Amino acid sequence: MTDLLTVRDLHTTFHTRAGDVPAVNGVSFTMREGETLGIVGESGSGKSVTALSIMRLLPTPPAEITGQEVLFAGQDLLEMSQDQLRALRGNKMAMIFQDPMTSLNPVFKVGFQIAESVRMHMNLGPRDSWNRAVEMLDKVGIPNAARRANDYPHEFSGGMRQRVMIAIALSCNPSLLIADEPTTALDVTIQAQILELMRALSKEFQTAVMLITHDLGVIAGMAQQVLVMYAGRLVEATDTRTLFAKPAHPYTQALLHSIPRMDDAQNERLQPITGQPPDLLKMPVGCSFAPRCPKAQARCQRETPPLVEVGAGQRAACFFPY
Amino acid sequence: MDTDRYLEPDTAPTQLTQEYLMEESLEPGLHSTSPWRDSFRRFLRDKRAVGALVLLAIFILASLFLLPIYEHIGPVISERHGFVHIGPAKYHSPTYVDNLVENAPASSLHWLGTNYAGQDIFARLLAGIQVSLFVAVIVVGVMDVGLGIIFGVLAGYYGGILDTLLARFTDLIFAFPGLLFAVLVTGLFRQAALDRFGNDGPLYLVAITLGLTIWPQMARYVRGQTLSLKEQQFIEASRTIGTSSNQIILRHILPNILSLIFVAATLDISGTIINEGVLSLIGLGVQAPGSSLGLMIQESLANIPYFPMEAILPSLTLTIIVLAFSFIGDGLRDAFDPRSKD
Ligand SMILES: Nc1ncnc2c1ncn2[C@@H]1O[C@H](COP(=O)(O)OP(=O)(O)OP(=O)(O)O)[C@@H](O)[C@H]1O
Ligand SMILES: [Mg+2]
Repeated sequence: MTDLLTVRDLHTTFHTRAGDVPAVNGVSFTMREGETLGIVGESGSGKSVTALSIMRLLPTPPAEITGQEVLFAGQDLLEMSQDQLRALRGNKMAMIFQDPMTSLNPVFKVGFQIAESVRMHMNLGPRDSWNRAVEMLDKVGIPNAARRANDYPHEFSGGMRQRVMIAIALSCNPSLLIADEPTTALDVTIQAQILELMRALSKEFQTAVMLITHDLGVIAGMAQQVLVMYAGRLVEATDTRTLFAKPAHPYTQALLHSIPRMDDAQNERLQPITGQPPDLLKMPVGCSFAPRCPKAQARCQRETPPLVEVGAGQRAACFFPY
Repeated sequence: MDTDRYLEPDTAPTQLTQEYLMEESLEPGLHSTSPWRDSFRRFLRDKRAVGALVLLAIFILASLFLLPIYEHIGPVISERHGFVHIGPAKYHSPTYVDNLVENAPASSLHWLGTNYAGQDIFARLLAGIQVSLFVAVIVVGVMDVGLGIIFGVLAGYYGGILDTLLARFTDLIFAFPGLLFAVLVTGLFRQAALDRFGNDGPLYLVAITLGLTIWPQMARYVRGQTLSLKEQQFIEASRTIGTSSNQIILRHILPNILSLIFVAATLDISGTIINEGVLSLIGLGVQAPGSSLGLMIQESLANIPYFPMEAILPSLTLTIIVLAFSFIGDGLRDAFDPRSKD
């Protein structure tokens, strides 16, 4: 498989009245074609900002995006004009969000909203793009697609709307789909259905998926590669199997201990991660996880650990891994 | 496309499904690709709104064509002991003052009677409708809605200098109580308007001034709606499929605020027609013997106890017009808001 997306040293800073917020701080990773990459991390760790920075969807100012390069299918997104980016968005890369209830325009039929994306990128007339919309609705498992295309968003349930969002996102057959907590707002059974749908469609369309989530269970079921983010930095990057079998970074370990596991003995308690993530406005010197880290030593307070290879295909930003 | 699926037992053959069936057989798929056409169809389905639209059209046609006809109906009569002979072109003119027939009741000569100055009320009503509708269209239709949308949406969407300018201008207008700003401006420029545009000049001036005082409020309202819409997920979602800012404004912001704007605009119409009347009464609006609904109401107020019809007729006409506009406004709101019940 070839590389689809290469992010090198991405920095996104918000210039706010209170000061500069380094929401993404030197993130580097690679995604291969058709692969599903999970991004996990606590709330505020910079997952969404990373995704939005890659698509260059953040308003600048207040955001400032810098970096060595963000290569997407051989082109550097950081060098592109807004016009070039618009031609890519929806066409080669697409995104779906957490809240399907507000992701659709309430005044247009869902068929029209899917067709809109198709019309913009595929040079089809109103009729052909409408037919494509119906076809996509059918693909995402909406019964009676031809009729339902004529319905308005409020006539769909949350799960159905997320299916519609997926239909919009995949309508132009993109090579990258960014899904920012696509199932967080849905109930558990619907979550499973939507994830299953995403997995099936990403396989069928050969779409690489960047799956942002809080839920390590989702990662286990969906992703081949995982990035763990903490306070705007990557603290660990590895394949899914290794992540669960042999987590290197203390933060990853703590994350794994904080979720219930089927195979655990009943008496083993869940261990929440104590303390708070650091205030991005006042980042401590050294490792940002050090204040909460059980293994922290003097060196961790002084130096920031770089993300280095700690095992085969496993990178971690820790002086004392495992 | 099989039409049978619409007759599945779980899909009760409601009006809606029957419609799908109908349309399906006409032109599969194509009919529904245009949201504007969808809105138009929803509007046509609203009997009340369509009725009101027809009624307004009748009013406009009547004021345009009935008045010239009315000025040809009636005998030549002698006035002032036979010294003066006048025809309907005179006494059915909305501006002809005849102090011998003040406050006359309805008759075959003056269909709805005459007012305190002996002017034919029917003729004045017809002329007044024209003036009031003209003012309403210019002030609300063009300036209030037009400027309100343009400045409101741009200020709300882009913020920055435009937003600041709008805020300052709004403060300036709001600093004058009620009609004071309009009184000042129309007073100052009335003569210039008369010189430049003749007898209709003051009316244009009034329309523009009233428009100037009314749009900032609309713009502010639109700005607020735009700000809250801008934060909605579907705006961001549309960005992710490559929609440009212009398209976002045209396709996502505007269609979502149109229904609210229509309702706000209907409310502004009645106020505008009344305000024009107030300005006309204090001599700043319609030139002296001319007519407008607002002016007729204002003129009749002093004599209400004795000649109530002189107040009731223009008020009733105004009420019908305002109601018609509000029905149309409701219809448009529903047409652009699919969540409203059909
Ligand atoms: N427009 C903005 N201005 C200033 N700071 C921002 C802005 N957007 C995001 N941030 C900050 O960037 C940091 C990362 O936010 P981000 O939304 O990426 O977190 P996240 O990992 O997606 O969290 P969650 O799981 O809650 O979605 C947060 O600390 C947030 O406060
Ligand atoms: Mg997020």
